Amino acid sequence: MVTTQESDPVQYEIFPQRMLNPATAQELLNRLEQIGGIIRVLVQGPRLPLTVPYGPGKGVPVDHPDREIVRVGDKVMELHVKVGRIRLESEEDVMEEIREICEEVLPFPFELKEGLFLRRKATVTDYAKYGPDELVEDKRIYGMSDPNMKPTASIVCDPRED
Amino acid sequence: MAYKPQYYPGSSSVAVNRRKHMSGDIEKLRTVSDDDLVAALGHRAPGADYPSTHPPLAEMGEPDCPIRQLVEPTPGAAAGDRVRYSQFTDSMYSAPSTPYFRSYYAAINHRGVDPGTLSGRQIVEARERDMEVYTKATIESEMTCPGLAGLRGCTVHGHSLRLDEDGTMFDMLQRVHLEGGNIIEDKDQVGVPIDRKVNLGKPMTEAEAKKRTTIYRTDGVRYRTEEEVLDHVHLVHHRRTMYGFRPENASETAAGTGDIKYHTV
Repeated sequence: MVTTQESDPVQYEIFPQRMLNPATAQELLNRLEQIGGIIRVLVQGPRLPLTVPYGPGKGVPVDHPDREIVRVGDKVMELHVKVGRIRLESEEDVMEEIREICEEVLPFPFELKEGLFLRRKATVTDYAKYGPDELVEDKRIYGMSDPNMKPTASIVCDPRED
Repeated sequence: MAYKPQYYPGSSSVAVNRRKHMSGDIEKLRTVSDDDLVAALGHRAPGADYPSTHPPLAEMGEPDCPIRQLVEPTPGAAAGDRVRYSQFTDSMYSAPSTPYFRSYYAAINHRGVDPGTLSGRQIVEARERDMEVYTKATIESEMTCPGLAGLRGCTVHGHSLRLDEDGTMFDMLQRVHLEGGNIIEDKDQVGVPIDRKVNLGKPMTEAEAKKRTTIYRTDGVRYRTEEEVLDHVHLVHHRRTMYGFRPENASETAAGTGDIKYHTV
């Protein structure tokens, strides 16, 4: 069975040697956003909770300085994670453009990989969340959310066609 | 000549550091005041008396027991202190110590402590004042780099994550932060804010951390370059396997039967 076709979008993963500060992450995301053909971007990393989640201090506010509001393009969002890796999907081969931007923005080494990082087909969980595949209008939602996320969490969607 | 324990084989800096941690022959690098330490531990208010779970042993009238006559109680046990804990996390990126060597240090050099060794954290339970003595000695010494290790009672997963951009270990609860080049702790070990800023001093530079680490890493001292350690590990493995599986063959590794060569894969 053929699962990947020539016409499928290409996916990349940027894996820096250090976890990114919000300012560096914002700069990197803004530069990446300017590359044409990028369809999806996923930011992954350890969670930055609002309150202590467990232990004797459960419920005490954390006030983590890295839980900042960042602006990417014309979207404003609050970082819920410390940025550890960035996954991108593009309609065309933009590996060298990404590499150039990373070399300019990141003051430390990084890995840049091409592969399958964001799923394209619905899983059983997706079926339970979004319903039958044929009824899901925008299939870019697959693989873009944390399976453990709370209903209050948000995904930033940009309905642009490009 | 008095017997001198040989704690760990090997000749590299990592092996030397492992021997230092186990023997307790460690260098003091910083000073943390008693009140600051008590605040960071979060078990009682700084300056407050030690709460107790029983009267001092001297007032209790102990039963006639040869073991009790033989073993002198620790100060905490003698005073009837509560059992309390301190827990450390060490980054995998060349932190000076590791859970195993913290436990070796505690068990070999301190009395009345109960070390618990886990993959990412190491906990010591002891009577409160004994625990404070152990924690103070550990936190002030070369076993702890404030940037690469931390007093964390919960959420220790930063140990296995990449470092932050400033070279410190990630902490979800942000118990410590860099301020003017020093690591400042303004929360206790479970993430509850405290009313003071505990100055833990400067974090180690990357070069210094690599010099003081007890971790074999491919970007530092490689484990496979340490022939004596590998030989010893193979010997222990062989003996354990043989005694458990074919004890009649175990004699081939007994003392005095000659050298047995083990080869690294």
